[in-house]
Amino acid sequence: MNTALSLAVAGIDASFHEPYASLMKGLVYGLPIQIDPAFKQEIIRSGLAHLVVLSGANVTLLVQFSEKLFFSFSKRMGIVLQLIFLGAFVLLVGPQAPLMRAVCMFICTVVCILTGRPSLIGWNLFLTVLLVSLLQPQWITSVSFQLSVFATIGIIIWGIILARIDLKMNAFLEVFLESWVVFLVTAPVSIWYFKSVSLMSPLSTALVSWLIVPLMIAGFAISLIHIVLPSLALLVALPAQAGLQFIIWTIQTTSHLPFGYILLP
Amino acid sequence: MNLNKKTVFLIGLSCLFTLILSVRSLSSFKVVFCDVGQGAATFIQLGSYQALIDTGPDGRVLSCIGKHISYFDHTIETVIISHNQKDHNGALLSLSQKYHLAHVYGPAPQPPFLDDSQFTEVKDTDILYQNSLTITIHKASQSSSSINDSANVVTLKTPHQTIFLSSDISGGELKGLMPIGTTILEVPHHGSKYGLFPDSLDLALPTLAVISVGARNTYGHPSHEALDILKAKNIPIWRTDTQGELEINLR
Repeated sequence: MNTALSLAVAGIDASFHEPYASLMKGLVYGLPIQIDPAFKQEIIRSGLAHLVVLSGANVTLLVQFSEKLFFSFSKRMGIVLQLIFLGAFVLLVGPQAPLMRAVCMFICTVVCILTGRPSLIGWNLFLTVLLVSLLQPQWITSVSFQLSVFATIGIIIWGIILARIDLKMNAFLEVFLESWVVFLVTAPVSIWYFKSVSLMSPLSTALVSWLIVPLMIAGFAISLIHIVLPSLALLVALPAQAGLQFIIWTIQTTSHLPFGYILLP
Repeated sequence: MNLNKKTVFLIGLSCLFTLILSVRSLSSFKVVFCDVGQGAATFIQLGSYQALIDTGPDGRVLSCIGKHISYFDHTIETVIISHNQKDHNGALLSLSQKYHLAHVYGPAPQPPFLDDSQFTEVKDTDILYQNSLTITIHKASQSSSSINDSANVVTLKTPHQTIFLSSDISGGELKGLMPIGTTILEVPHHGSKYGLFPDSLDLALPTLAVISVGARNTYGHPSHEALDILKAKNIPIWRTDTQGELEINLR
């Protein structure tokens, strides 16, 4: 772990008890949960493992958040600030395959915007896979990269379905259905590599996904504030603690439901 | 309600939720047999006072404590180490990194990461009083060269319960050391056949036996011999390997 990341993580460690601290470190910095193997197994069984490793989904959420943050400036300035923000994040956590997949796709989108071309997510994904296969071919065979690419394909398919049916639905139902599509697309990869699949994934994802961005923001804020004023970080962590408790409740409930997790022979 | 008001409402509600749980935690009086795999860790919560008897082998004890301790509390007042084996003291360092350990009782040598003022070597018997809880720490044997038989055993006495935490002592020692009025017995040595003999429970008959043991451990704990002795005496058995964390309200 580099010095900056150690410093960032110290704030979270000091503000939360376990297993909340480990969960927060997984959500914000993609650090593996090592404290409790039983808890790690519960996360896998609940189908939420993608949230506590630094997946493309986390980065996409970061991109969306930084858009809101920086696009009050001009478009070009916003893009530059967004690139600096993401660059700093990559430097902090290190270049992991799913993270770089998301960053590459973002760069493709930025190039499209700057050159005035239409940004097509499918085309961007293709370019990203091409770029990665040229620069880091070993990533192509990594399971995390493949899961990240297939999850993106699922999101693209859901986008097409949503555009076709043209139906207004509430946020929970939309995330739930989208999670089902992503689940169906990524399940073969999961079965191939892990010989297991969690049927709870769409439900648990829909239940907790609305909390991820606020918790990531809180996590960053706690890391920064703790460097200057540790007691204030504890106050910022107060509402985040409730969010983490809800996620852990979801993990523990969905991981113990019968037939929620299928382990193939 | 616009988005900002909604956000403020949700943040307020979340703060209130955490505060309520913290207050609830501060008003509890319970003993928790943590599920730490093959090992032992027993957590006592009496308001803002916490005691931990043994830490188990690794960081799993932190998850156990974290679920029960108040959000604002980062001090464990008393830690007792029964003996220096990894399944009983393996997480002491990570515990000291996460929490302020006010005082640690244990066998020599003093862990290098603890100050002199933080550590007391148990030489014979130490008694601690905390409101309605009395904690007696007793070195099981002064003469035995066996690390298990010379472990520190702990008796927790409350108005309604007497809990005997027997660490890894043998069945022969248990008979002489277990207080007559024991209601809850933590079965010695994770249910090993050497921890419980047919006559071990002749002098005191607990109403509940707790076995801190890891699922699918390589030692074959708990042994069928120990389980048969408890069944023959009609003592209900609670096990951390099959039931996970075990919590007993002491109020």
